[in-house]
Amino acid sequence: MKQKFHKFFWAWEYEKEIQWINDMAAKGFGLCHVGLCTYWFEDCEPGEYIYGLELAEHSPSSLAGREYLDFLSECGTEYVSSWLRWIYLRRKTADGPFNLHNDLDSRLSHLKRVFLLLLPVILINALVAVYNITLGLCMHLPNNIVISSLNVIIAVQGTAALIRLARMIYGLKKERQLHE
Amino acid sequence: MNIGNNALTEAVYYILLSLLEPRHGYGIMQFAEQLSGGRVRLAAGTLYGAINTMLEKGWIEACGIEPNSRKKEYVITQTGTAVLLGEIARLEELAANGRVLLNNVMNG
Repeated sequence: MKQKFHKFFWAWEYEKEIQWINDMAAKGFGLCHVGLCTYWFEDCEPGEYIYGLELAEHSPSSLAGREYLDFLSECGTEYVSSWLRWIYLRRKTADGPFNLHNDLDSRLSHLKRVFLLLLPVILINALVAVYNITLGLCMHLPNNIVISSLNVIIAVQGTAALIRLARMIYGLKKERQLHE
Repeated sequence: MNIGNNALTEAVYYILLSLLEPRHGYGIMQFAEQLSGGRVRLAAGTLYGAINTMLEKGWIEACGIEPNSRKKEYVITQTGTAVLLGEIARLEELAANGRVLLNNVMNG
């Protein structure tokens, strides 16, 4: 039986999101479809699947995206659902740990994809926030300041996420000088 | 992935070795793991990226579809074989230099 859950994660909280999905799988709820802030689960054996989430290079609806998903499927990783370029995948827990990228270069390239996805969104929100607050203060429009609070939240939290990602990228690049 | 005139990554090296005979993606993963005694476990995303890069470089080529499973198979090309031989020579040089110098130090 399918069950629907509503839950919200910021785009930069993808590790937290997949942790929640895996916690659900451990309880016997296997993710089967994803929509905007909505997750559908179906019954599975508790711990039967381990889930992974990746920002794909190509949209799953494109030819290159479908080829990638077909390849993953051949290798035992099942495509579950997608939201924009985020793809939700799973494999049987019995087949070993979920690990799509185990070399530094492909881990780096995934982190860079996430960074480049977030950067324009956060910049736009920061600019809108500064513009609205300045306008609100100069023109005595308190509503502008209230409305821009969401932009401020996104800009502040997103910047913290970008700094974290940049640190991870820097750390991997340092490690890359010593190892693959 | 470092594909140039220098050292190959371990993943690329094992993929090239696996493709001395035609194999599909999962076959490459299994072969590399078996050949390395379980040490090298190629992740699917890493393998996909490496295969595409090597196809672009002409080191490997698609050679058909496995009849039973409809999986795409690949095989090493002459260029790929030359790259593999170059890497083996490089690895032999590394190992030989290491052994000589360590022996000198350890034997006084």
